[in-house]
Amino acid sequence: MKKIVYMVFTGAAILSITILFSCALQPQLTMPAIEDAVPVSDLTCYGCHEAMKESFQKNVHGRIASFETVGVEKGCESCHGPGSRHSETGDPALIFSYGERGLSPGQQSALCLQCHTQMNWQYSEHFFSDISCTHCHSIHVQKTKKLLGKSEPSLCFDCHQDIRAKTLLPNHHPVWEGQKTGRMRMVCSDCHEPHGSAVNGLKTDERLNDLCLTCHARYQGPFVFEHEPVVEDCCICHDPHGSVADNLLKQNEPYICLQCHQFHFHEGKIGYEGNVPASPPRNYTDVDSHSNSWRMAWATKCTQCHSQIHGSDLPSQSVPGSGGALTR
Amino acid sequence: MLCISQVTAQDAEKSESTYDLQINPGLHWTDWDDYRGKAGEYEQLERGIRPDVGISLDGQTKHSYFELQGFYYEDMDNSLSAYIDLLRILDLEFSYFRMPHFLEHDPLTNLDACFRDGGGAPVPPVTEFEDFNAGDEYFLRYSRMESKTTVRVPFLPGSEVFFDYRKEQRHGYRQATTLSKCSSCHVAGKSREINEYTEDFNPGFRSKFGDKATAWFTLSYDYLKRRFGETGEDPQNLYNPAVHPGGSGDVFTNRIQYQDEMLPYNVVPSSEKDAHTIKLHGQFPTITTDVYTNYVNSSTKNMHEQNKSDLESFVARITNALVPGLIVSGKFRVLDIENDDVFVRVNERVGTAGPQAGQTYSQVYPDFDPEFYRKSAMSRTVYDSELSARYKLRKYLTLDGKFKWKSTDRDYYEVEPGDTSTDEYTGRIGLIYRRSNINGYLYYQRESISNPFANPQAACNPSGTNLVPDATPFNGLQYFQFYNMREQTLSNLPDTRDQIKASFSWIISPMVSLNGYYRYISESNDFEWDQKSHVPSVSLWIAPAPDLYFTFYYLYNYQKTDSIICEPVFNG
Repeated sequence: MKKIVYMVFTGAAILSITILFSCALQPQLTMPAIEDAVPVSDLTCYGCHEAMKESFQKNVHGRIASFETVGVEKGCESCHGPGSRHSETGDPALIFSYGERGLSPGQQSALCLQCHTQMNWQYSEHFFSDISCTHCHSIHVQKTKKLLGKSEPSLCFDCHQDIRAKTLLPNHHPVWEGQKTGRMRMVCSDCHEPHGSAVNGLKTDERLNDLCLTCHARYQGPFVFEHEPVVEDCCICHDPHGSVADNLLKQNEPYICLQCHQFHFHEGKIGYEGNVPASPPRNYTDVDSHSNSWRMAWATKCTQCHSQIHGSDLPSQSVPGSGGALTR
Repeated sequence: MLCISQVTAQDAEKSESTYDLQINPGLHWTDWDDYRGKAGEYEQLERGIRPDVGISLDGQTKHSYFELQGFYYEDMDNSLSAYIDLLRILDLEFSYFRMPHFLEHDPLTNLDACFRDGGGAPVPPVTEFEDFNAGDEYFLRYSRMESKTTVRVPFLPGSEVFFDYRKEQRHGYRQATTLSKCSSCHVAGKSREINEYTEDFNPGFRSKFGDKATAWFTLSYDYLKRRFGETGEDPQNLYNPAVHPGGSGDVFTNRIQYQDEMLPYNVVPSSEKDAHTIKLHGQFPTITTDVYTNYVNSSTKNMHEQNKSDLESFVARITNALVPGLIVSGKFRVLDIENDDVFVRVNERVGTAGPQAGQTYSQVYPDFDPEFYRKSAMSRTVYDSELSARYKLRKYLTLDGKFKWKSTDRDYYEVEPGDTSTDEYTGRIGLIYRRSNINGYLYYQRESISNPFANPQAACNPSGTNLVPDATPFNGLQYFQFYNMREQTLSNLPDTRDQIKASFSWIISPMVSLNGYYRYISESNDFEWDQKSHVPSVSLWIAPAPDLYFTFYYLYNYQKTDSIICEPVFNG
């Protein structure tokens, strides 16, 4: 049944796209054009926009070589279009301008993608949210890393405010610590690929876990004794953006563990009220559960004993558990 | 309380040449009271006023450009970066930084919750602990070095070869605990030396070819070699002999694999990874279509045990914008992982005392076979399809929709008894409004997941299960029987999730803007687990001068999780 659903779904997708292929309608993402305009040169542009000259020449876009821009003009007009009519009249409508009042986000991106062909922009949520490159990038600035309009993470948190909230929780990756003083730390784009990727906008072509293991390679294994959710998805237990609980856990121990496991049998042990004789009988069924059992239960961190929760090659001590208790 | 302040003076030196030097000397003052804990997790936290300095130098000649930057904050907290561009043929990027990472030291004292006799001495059954390095503070010195070298080939326009290198290191100590069993559970905590490295060697090439007007392709290939190793000394622990909690002697010897032995624990295996990635991106401007494919083949090997896992992934996506205002995108992905089976041998010891003397555990309980093939939960095939569309309803208004189907078919691991597969269906619809001074969006998304990842042997049946052993530990309920009685499924993953997300941004003037955001998520599953969260926020941005701005910000984050907790009453 699942395969049938999958085939129907994929077939529908392919059919839809095929129909669209067959429609010779006006393209939306074709490059914008300026009628009757021809290229001039950067020198003509600097005649009026002299302030741009110094920063642009140091900027990577100003230094670019002709063998990099195959089939595209280099210089101001590679992005702003042929400038002859604009330079003659000074009319801002006769040149491509960017930002909120300029070309549509799709047209702006299309111009950038002429050269940045390695980007999978159409893969990204930003593309489908009608975001253009210049929402994040300031093209004329010189010294900002990646030509960002603002440094990370502030740039990202302008829109992703729920994530901002999480990164302010007591447990977080060090995304804010660098922002305070300009020191190097993690940034959002260490994990996220804002330009689109095969896996949920993340910087991996494999699985989410493989992204985490880029830095946390000690949990790579593959281990002899596995903890199944660890190999399924790190985010079953961890919230990478921040958490109240230690170690970026979604909940504190033992509660996170108790989402998928019952309490350990020790914690449910029926015991004595009061003092215990040196050799207690084994059958306690006629007495109430001892309060210490509960204290043990609620204060226990499962990983104090099951310390190798991410996997281990060494067997635990117990034979009835076949060595798989992840305690060594 | 943690206070860090920085005073910076700038001494910029400019000349007619294109060299630019900046020296930023500064002072920072740090102090705190109470427990440093999470407030200074990534800080060195030296008390007092201390100097720091930042230096940057950049320059440009006719054909070359360079940037050098350095920042010294503390001896464990500094950075260097460099960028050199020679004739646009050779690009060299280098960066290095290090930082401290403070780690918690668990005093383990909660494990002292035990029965005590009238004199205060613990009596069996107890959970005991011993923190062998109780006074140690734990932190890591983390460093990351990256270099990216790109060579562009002028006689092959649009082509470049690259070699990226990354090395991460962690040095320091962390706490390592382990469990051994004597009269009862005994947790030992020791300081574990950390001396780990991760090295990535990543060469590859990219090439653009075709006709820009009709069909344009970008082909790339890269190879990743990753080496991970931990050379810190493995901690050792003396694993105790099995002693009957009631003082009946060594009657449990055949229930443990090793005793009275000093053995290593918390061993981190070295691993190696090889990955080949090929990407082909095609652009067809005349039919406004974009095609992307990606193939990955990777293999990861545990160098201690020599077992490995192999991964293959293929992705294809096509995006089309032929219909005015409509962009449609279809994606298909298949991923396959094969993780080696491992045969687990168990060191069965012969009982030395009591009724099981002279017999191994499996000889006494022939229904139990302790040795088994570990079939990995990682092995699986995943199919992932997605259809996305965006349609411009009006000049400023866009309709966005997406439908996604993902099927995870595990080779062995059952998420429900007899069922190894999970199917996820996601639908999303949204409205996006963009004008020059007002932007906003409203999204609704629903996810329906059949058989989310779960533990089908999570808990015993709520009633009707007799967990009371017989009079002795030898003829009553055994642990393996107790484990096998767990037939209830539990999971913290939802089978339905509803999400609403809204945002607006109003640029009142070039110097003032007002932003709002709201996100609501409601999720639940069949195992009496549900979770709700909502995050409203509002912010006001004011820029009274070109280089001065203030942001006033309020954000409220609410999350509530309800779940059942299962505790069997067990007398054994």
